[in-house]
Amino acid sequence: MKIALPILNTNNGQSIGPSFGRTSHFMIYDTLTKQSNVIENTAMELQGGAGIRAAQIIIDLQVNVLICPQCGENAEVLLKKANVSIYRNNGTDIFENINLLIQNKLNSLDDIHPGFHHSR
Amino acid sequence: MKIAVLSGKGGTGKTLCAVNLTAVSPGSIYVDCDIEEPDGHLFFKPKTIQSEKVTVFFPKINALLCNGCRKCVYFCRFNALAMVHNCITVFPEVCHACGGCAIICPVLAISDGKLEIGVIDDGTVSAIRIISGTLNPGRESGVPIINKMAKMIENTQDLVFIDCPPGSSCATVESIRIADFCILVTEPTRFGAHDLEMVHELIISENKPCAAILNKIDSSDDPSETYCIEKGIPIMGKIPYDPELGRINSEGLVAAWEKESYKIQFAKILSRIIEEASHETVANPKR
Repeated sequence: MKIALPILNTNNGQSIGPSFGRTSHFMIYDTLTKQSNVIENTAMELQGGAGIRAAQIIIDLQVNVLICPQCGENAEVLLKKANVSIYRNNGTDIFENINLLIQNKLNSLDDIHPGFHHSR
Repeated sequence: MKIAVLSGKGGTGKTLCAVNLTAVSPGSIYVDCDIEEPDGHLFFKPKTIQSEKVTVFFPKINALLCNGCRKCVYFCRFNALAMVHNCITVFPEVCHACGGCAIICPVLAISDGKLEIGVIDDGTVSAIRIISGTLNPGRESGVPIINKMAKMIENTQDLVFIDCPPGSSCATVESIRIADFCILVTEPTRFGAHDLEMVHELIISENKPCAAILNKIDSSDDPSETYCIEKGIPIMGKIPYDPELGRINSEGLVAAWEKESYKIQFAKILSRIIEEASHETVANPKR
């Protein structure tokens, strides 16, 4: 199983970031190999549709589960189509959340927001 | 001559002025470009209306032809297209209808699905032509509707009044594009003066001549008038704060058609505008 998390680089190391589409990096963790890999989110700087592009990146990496605090509705539509499950993180510690997910202790993210799309 | 009526702030009296200036100009054309809330037709109540739907490009994917190359996905700067399981998903709210994806597709799998975004009603009342655009709820941009209305009147020799949307965004810019002259309707508030400045800067950047009508004038200081004087914007008329005018207007009636004094008031303003605008056209023939 491949898990994706939006991550934030802080003074105390890395933690789960507050945003999905506009996060600077994603961590991809593979439960089979127990390997983690940090990738840049090239969607971050996009003028619009960052959530859509970020979801495309996650989907193309064959991720099965996304752990994040919030997700926009366009991204959710795509992730759902690709059968990516979305779970809400509990706290911001990356590996604690991965363990909670494996123990089936995370709740699915069901309050999808309509997006923060600015008008043209 | 095409005269755009705009204000920046909403509620200063754009429609009041545009409607009543039109009402004292038989044979003229009134164009409601306030496509999010067109209300000029409520005053004129035009008859024999012809309606035309306005559609914009919308990518329609032929899944049988699509080879999964993703050129469209990476071409779209708004990210309105994505690919899951070798199928293209389109996000209608994100699409800006540029049509680029259909051009870039090497296997011609994308065609125009024609998305309806609104309607243009074209009617008449008392020898006045009323053109009114309405954007469907939930659609982001009504610019294609405004452009289509502009096309309908671009070659007319008749006097045209363009009732512009509030603000100074794309819809306003498009509304004044075919105008020969701009009329700024102001109100004596700081908010009104602030937005007047924004829209005045827009008019300068679009290189359009302009003049102002000061609306809702009372005995207090008028920051909008101060701005006009500072910037040398000619004042075509002052409409006093008048509860009766407000009442007639709120009942959806055309003040100039209801009462002789209002007819005279707006006819006076109109003749000043025509005089001012023709000076401008003579001074700047390129316009």
